Amino acid sequence: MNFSSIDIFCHCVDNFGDAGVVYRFAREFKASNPRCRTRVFIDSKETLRAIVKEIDPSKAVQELESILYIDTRALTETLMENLGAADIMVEAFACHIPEPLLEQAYSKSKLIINLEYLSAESWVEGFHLKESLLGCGTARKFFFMPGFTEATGGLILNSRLAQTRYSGGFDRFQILNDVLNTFGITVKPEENKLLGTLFTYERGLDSLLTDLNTQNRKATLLVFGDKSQKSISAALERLGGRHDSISAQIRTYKNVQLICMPFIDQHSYDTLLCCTDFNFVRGEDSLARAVLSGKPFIWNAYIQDNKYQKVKVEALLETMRPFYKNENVFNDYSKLMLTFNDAPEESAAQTTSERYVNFLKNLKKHERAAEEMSYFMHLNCNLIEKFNGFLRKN
Amino acid sequence: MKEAQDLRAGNCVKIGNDLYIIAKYEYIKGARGASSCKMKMKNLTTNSVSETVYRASDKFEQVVLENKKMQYLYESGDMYTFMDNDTGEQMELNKDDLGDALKYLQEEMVIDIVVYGEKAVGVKLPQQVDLEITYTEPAVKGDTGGKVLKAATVNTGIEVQVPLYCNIGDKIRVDTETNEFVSRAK
Repeated sequence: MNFSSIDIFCHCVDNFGDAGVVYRFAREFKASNPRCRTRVFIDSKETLRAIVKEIDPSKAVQELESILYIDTRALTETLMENLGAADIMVEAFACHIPEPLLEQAYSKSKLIINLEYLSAESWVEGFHLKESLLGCGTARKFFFMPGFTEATGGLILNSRLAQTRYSGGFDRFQILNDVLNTFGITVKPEENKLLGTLFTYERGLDSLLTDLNTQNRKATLLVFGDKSQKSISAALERLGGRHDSISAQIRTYKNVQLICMPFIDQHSYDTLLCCTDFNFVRGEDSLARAVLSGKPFIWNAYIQDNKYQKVKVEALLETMRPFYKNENVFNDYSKLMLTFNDAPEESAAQTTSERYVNFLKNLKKHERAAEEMSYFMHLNCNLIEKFNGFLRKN
Repeated sequence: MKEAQDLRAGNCVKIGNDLYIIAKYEYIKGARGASSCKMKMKNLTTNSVSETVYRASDKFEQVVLENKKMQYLYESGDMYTFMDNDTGEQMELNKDDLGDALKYLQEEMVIDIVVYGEKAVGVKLPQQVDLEITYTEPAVKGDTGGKVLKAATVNTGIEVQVPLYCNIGDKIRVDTETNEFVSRAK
């Protein structure tokens, strides 16, 4: 199929995942289809601004890296008529395309694609690329399901980062120090310091801090996002941590140094995850980043009614199982991930029962499994490649 | 209009100018309320069958077709024969048309056959059916709570999760929408 334009629609439900995935998808798609006119229709440019500094929420229409970002709230009938519909219309996460544009799509567009949430559940393969008969006129409609196997839509890779990593031009300590020097901190390989990132929903983190402290290495935790920072503050208050005299952003709990990080751009975050010893990630997009980083991680799944998030976590664990050579290490990891995700709701006040000692002790074994999984995903599960292949075939 | 999440196997919907009967239906709870439904649908005009996916909130025009109560008689190859016990009229359905119903179909069972024109095009399952356990691990004495489940194979060949107190030979009532154990049957 020939196509020369794509419109991507995004409704920001909460947090940063919706905007983050769409921004990432748009950029990677544009990079692989430079001649295709690419537009993103988003209803919260403020959310996107948190991830992309260059985005100006006051502008209804803004071009950035050859992609047009349009604030859906500013759309008028006349503007929509003038904008028209693209050859490919993408509804991210089953969001609704504004009616006037949808009407135009039915007479002009070739495909409407519902780009779904990422899940490791086994049903995903059976839903991927299935048609909805509710397409209309010239536009056929399909479901595109991201996932962790070859038979799904895969993950959106960071192609720039992948190229750097696999070409050997990757200096872990250089990257880490570029970030940490801002805080007057330098890490050296000989220090053997444990380095991790933390980006979770609000939750209890007391046992993480106490278990990190009992390692025979000093640890530095880079804490991202308001929710993680609030959770760390609450845990420190209970445990009796202190502010560092150098900066209000640095705190310490015995052997553990905690740095409250500002939001950094996606590429820097993706890169950072590849340089640490472990990562705590949340939601969908940072889970994908953690899997692709090849580093051990703990996933804080989006909390749902009746703890349904545990079904999602169990499915992810099943996907990871084949990459583990040591069953005991995997079982221990599974137990930790499931306990970590057992909370019925977000709360920085919650007490925690999970223990991280074995996870931290077995980091090298986890890393071997994580590297294998990352390699598999890069090789077989490139979402943009699969998406382009589907467009070409239809 | 009916939302996709409210449709079931055996329902008929109109899309454009065509009527479609749903042979198989699967509902999946997605992230943040964005659930989806997979349906195996047969176009009643062209007889083509397609596996399709919808958002749970997608809206459909439902068409109510005639239903006839008929008794399942026998299968021969891929064809299944049903009979109206009042008139003696017989109708055939193939394996694909039966879809989800195959999991619960038992000899002499009386079910609603969906008829379009003069042809049987699908079946509508009752909400609950009684099945017999043909294999399961031995019952655990004293466990009457029913909260812990074990796998059991039933006389139609499918697997159902049942409470630990169930035994081979027990009759159980199963929800055909969720394939979940409801209660013991008499």
